[in-house]
Amino acid sequence: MTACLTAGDAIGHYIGMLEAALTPRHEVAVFADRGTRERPFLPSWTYVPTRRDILWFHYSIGSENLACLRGRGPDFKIMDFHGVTPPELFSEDETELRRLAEQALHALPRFRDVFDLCIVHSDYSARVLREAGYPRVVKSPLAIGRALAEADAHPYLAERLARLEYLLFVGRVVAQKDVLGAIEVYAAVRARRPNLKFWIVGDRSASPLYQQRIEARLRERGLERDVGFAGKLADPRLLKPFFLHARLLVMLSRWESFCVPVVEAMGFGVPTITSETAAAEIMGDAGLFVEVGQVDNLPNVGQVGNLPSTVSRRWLQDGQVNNLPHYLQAADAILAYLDDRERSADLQRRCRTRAALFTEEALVRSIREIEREHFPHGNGS
Amino acid sequence: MENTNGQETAGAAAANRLMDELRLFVALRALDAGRAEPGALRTVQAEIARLEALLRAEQGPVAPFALDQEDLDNLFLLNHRQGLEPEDKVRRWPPVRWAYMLARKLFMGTQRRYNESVTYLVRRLYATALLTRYYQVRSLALERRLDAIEAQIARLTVRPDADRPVAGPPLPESSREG
Repeated sequence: MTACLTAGDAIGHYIGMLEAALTPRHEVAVFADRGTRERPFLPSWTYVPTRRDILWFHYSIGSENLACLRGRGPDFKIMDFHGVTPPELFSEDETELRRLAEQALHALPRFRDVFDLCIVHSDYSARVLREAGYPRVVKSPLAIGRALAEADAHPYLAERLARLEYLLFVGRVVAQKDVLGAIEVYAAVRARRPNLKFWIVGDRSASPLYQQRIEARLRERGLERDVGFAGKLADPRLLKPFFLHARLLVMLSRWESFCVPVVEAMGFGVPTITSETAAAEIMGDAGLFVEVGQVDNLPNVGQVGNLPSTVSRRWLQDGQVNNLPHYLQAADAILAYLDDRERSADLQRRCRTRAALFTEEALVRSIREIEREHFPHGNGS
Repeated sequence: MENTNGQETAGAAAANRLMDELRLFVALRALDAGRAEPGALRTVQAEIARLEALLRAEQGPVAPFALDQEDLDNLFLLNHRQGLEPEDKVRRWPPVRWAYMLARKLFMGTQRRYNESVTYLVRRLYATALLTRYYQVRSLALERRLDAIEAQIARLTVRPDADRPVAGPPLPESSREG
């Protein structure tokens, strides 16, 4: 059961893979509060607990389906925890999402007696649940499926993107992902590498206010022709070429619980630069990590690394002092990576090796193990 | 040094041209799929303006594109949406205000979904108008290119030693190909 079942997004893929993994041994029904037409599901309110069923509940933001968790109930209940975005990271115009995130965080400690087992996909999520008092927490990889890897890249996009040197961001274009920060870092890198471009792939419908800020920032920095927005690309034939030819994935999110694009990029040998700890955990040693610094560590502005002083000064004028050190580090790290062919090749190799940890096969193995060890009368053997 | 600068400038121009082509491609896809992409309308509008300017320079004035009164009347859905909201004067009278607040609480989900679908339909309508115009001017520009190629072939047939044809800048691909 999930709040929103969307075909083509990370959770939609994951639920499809879970369904495929469990179907040989179980009868599976997918419940959701809402969804898209491409993917059939039963409305959450039609769920009736019995003694013989297992409720696999995807927990993220608040939704109507939390009503199914009111009582302990006779079914065995599993929480698949995808993390709850801290409410303060939503924009001013995302009031409804902020309210739902607050609701989910507020309700989290109350459900510790309702769930028999919790499944998480990162150490960060495991820590959150243990702090909330959940006793049985199991870690399992979040697979990305084969659709993207097996798709034929769209020839028009592939041919053109192959001739372009660009950085890539993939994800919803919202404040939580700090897309403005990624643009600032790109601006600093571009000052030294004028032909470098930046592609932003992801849904832009969530926060019109944030989109306006991005447009204004691009105008102000004169980057309108250098930054491209591809929108949400649910078709893997269109998404694949963007990953295939990117030099680096830039994910400077303020918060993540897993970060699927990092795994997708690794599959294509594209390393990630991130300042977020959960994304860094997924990435392992196959990418670049910059720590979010403090004002005390502020370097001498204007003489930092390769960056021109005008860029650093602009960040100070914008009041982004807290972010300045890690933006500077990120820009420096990207420049060093782009110039060092040997290091690039090494990171690309590591990416491909690490991506094998997040395949559908790894997920199926992990699910069978969980079934054997934790399900009531498990028959995962 | 000059040569290096020249190469860099050529490289930057080529990269910018590629970005423009790709931007147009994804914008056309977004409009075709009815997605709410803030930049897509602007990108296609700019491309239409560019093609119109190109055609104007070659062939004189191009007939402007406008929605007929009939099409505008089809935006009746907007009136429908307004019809769901009571007039301010009426809403001020307490019993109506309370009834309105109660109805809003009860049917807010329905109202939101209705508004979403109306917004979607209006967006689709506008996107369709824009795409129609884009394909119209693109066809005209392609016809012009074909005419020029035919003229070149005719010249070459008459005088085989005439200058070889020079390829013009590539026209952006249709969003429907592939």
